[in-house]
Amino acid sequence: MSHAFNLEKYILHHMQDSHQWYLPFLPPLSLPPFLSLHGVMLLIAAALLVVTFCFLYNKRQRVPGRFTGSLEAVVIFIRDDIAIKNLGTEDGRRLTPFLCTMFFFILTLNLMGLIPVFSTATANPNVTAALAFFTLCFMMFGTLFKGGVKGFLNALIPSGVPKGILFILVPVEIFGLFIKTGALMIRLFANMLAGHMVIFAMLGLVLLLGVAALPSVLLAVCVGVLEVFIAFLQAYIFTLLTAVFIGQMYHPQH
Amino acid sequence: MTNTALSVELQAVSPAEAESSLLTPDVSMVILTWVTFLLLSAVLYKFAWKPILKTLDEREESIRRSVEGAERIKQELAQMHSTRHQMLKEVEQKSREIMDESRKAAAQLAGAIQHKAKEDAKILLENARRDISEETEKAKMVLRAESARIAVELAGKLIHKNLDSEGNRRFIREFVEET
Repeated sequence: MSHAFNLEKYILHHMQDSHQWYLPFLPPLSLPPFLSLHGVMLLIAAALLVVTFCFLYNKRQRVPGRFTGSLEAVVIFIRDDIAIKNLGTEDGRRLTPFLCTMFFFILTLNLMGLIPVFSTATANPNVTAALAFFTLCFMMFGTLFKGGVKGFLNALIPSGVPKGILFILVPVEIFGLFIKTGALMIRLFANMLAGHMVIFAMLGLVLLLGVAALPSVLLAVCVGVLEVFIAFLQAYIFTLLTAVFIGQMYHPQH
Repeated sequence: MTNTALSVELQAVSPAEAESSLLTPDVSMVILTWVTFLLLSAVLYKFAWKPILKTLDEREESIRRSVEGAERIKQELAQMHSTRHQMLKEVEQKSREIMDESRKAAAQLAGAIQHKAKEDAKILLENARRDISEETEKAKMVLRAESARIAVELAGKLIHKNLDSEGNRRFIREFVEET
């Protein structure tokens, strides 16, 4: 029985993007070629966020309720401890909406990946690369828009460096921009992928070895709980590093 | 999920998909992410973050104003307390002064009354003395007149009786003893 089961394929099957959505008690739902399963997850996450913040979040309450209050605490945390702390008051306030969207979008995608019906879009490098691209855009075009070419060069070239070294330093710094955002992309994608791989590997053991491997389900549950924490942590790290990188470009301190 | 079901599930995946790596670049997915994120950002900015952040700023401003107001009221209360304390002290001082003044005035008035009473008593005494002396004088006058009348009466009797000197002397002694 077990020779027919391929654990690697089982894990890959659950982690990979596909055009079929497996819903409980229903035949697999075939998705159109232009929309993959992770794409559907992106749209559902976006819809969830719109519903949550545009309809469920009560903006007229003078004293916020439990739900609104908890979301508000996160928004205030992003504004004060991520945006303003790393970008200064003016730029921080201006970029708070972008960072809030980034945080809640990544968090929703991460948490959706823990619900069996859904899939983890943030375990797809294309998604994380697209998100990290926005960080790169702010780092490059935001700095150009804010300080012009002079400001951009000032952010790249440290003051007091001999001109001879600039030939090496400038390409390294420009390369560094891509490295930073690349690391951002890989960090989120790898963390989400690894966590889910561990869970599916443990659940796969039951399919591979049968009842004898049932205790691994308990381990999978423990890793699942850890994954909830990691979902929050990775969303926070991505948002924080985005603010830090943009802050380094907007306010270079050489 | 049973093994049989899983193998059916795995077979349903196309070979190309099963072989594809987890790292395969997918431009359509990147574009879809960009579009979704940009649209989400726009919608949330307009309908969520802008009003939420505005509400937060307003609330923070209102809290700051309330705290400042409370601080100001506290200071005003402290100032009022000190003013009241000062006023109480002044009132106490003034009342003490008034009491002292009234005590002094009362003492002066009592002195004046006493002096006047003494003066009155003196006048009364003098009047009484004068009355007494007048009455004494009056009594003396009456006595003198009576003495004269008696002397006249005695002289009359002497003349009518025509007595000798021994007899006169005895008569006078008897008359004197009689009177």
